[in-house]
Amino acid sequence: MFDVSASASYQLITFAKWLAATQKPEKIAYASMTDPFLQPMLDGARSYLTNHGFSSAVYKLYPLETTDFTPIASAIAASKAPVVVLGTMPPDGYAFIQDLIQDKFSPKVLIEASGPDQGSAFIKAVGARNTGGIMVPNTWYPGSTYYQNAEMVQMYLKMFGGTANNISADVAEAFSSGQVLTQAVEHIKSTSNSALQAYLHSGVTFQSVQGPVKFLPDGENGAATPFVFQWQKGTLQDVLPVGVGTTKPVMAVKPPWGAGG
Amino acid sequence: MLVLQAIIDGILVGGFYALMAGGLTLVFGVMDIVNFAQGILVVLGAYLSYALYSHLHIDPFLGLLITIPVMFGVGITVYWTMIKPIKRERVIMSLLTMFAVGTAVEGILDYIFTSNLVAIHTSYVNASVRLGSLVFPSIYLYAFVMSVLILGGVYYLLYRTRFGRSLRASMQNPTAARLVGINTDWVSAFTLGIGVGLAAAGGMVFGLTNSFDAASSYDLISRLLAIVILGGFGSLSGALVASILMLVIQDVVAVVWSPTWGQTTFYIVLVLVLLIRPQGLLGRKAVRAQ
Repeated sequence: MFDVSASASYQLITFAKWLAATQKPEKIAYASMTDPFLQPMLDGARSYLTNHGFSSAVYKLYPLETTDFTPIASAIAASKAPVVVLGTMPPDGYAFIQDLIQDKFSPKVLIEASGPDQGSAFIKAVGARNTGGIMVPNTWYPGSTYYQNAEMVQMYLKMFGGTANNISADVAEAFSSGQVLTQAVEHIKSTSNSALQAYLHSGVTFQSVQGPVKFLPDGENGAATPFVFQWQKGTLQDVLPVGVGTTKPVMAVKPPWGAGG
Repeated sequence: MLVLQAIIDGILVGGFYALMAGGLTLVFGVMDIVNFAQGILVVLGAYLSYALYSHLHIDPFLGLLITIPVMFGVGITVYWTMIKPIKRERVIMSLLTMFAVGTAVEGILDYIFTSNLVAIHTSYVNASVRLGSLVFPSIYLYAFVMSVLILGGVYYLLYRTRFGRSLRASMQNPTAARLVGINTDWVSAFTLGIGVGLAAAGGMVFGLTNSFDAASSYDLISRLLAIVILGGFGSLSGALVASILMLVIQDVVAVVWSPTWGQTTFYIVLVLVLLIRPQGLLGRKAVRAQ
């Protein structure tokens, strides 16, 4: 089986690479729901960052049914870790921000696995003046300049109408699977299963609307480069990777709570 | 200091859990039914407070002057229309009925508000008071004070009023209570009304401190049942003690060890307590003598 989309453990890798490249090694506080998708996201980033000298000041895992995040937030605040990485669903993502504000702890860098990508729901939940600098990963967005993305968006709108922002990421995932298959079949000039498998495992890099695709022995996409978005002046901007789409410069330091930005 | 902070957080959060659990334990104590709809009724209370705040800009605490009476009315209506008509297998049928009520309420809330998460985000929801290195989130302080006042009011109602005597008599022996002229139907209706009214207050705080949707009730009801069992069915003070104990244990284990073990540790404590005191911390050994 081959997974064209970035697997869970790669979802935060773009962020981790940026942090390792631009910041000196420092303490990081991690917390995540024990979710089969969220925890690997956190652990993937943590593994990368630990190998690059960043230490774990806090590492807390909590079950799905947790509703009180104050002790975890207190532990994060007490650690004074300048970087906080959270593997959250939207409800706990919002709750963590609320608790960190109550603890009067504003990290320099804050990224959540999901929550900040919920648009107006996120703004309403945490307050418009508290969104500045918060980051969130995403595997696709309509404005990226990855291979054939613009064509895919145009084709989708022609077939189904609506606006580009309403296109689900599932569309991109399905389309990119077709792209990879097309490139493989066109190269080997065959639809033989065994020939396709051999070619897909040969280490060649494919191009897709989700970025480069290169399969590892277990079928994972080892070249996955998810996007990172950041709230800047009330808008969710694509900031990483640099040079793909309309990336704005990363706000390297999150503004204090309530400062907007 | 982290442990002390966890204890403080547990006490403050436990206060408003006691509100939600208090309604559940009262209803069981009088009516012998486990109100499986209590979780979704808390969420209904949260949605009512949310609607009043977002559309009419009524502060959630002030909005309780509206939501509590409304929910009280809901409780009485549910009793008269759905519980009272049950003639046979009353306990199990009441349980199923409340489960059905809960499912219906969840469906209606999902239809009206959709599955988008909402939260009541007031200007003071992120405020906190600092004492040295200890932090007291303002919203939990207000909620704790409110919980103590409301539960104190209910306690006064139970132990200092004629209605309270009727309620306690119905709790102890409904047959004997009827024989001495107590209208146990009205007592039950009012009890369910009070229980649902308490859910409104707890729901308001739940909405201030959590993002929620209609499906948020499932985690709540399991916790509330555990609190009621630990505190003792029918015991309001038991619900308060058990709520605080549950949240303190969870929070301390979360900081000292791991949040994953917080709830497990509480349930281990629950089992140990029940082995020693099967009636719970403050429950009575024989609630009914029929």
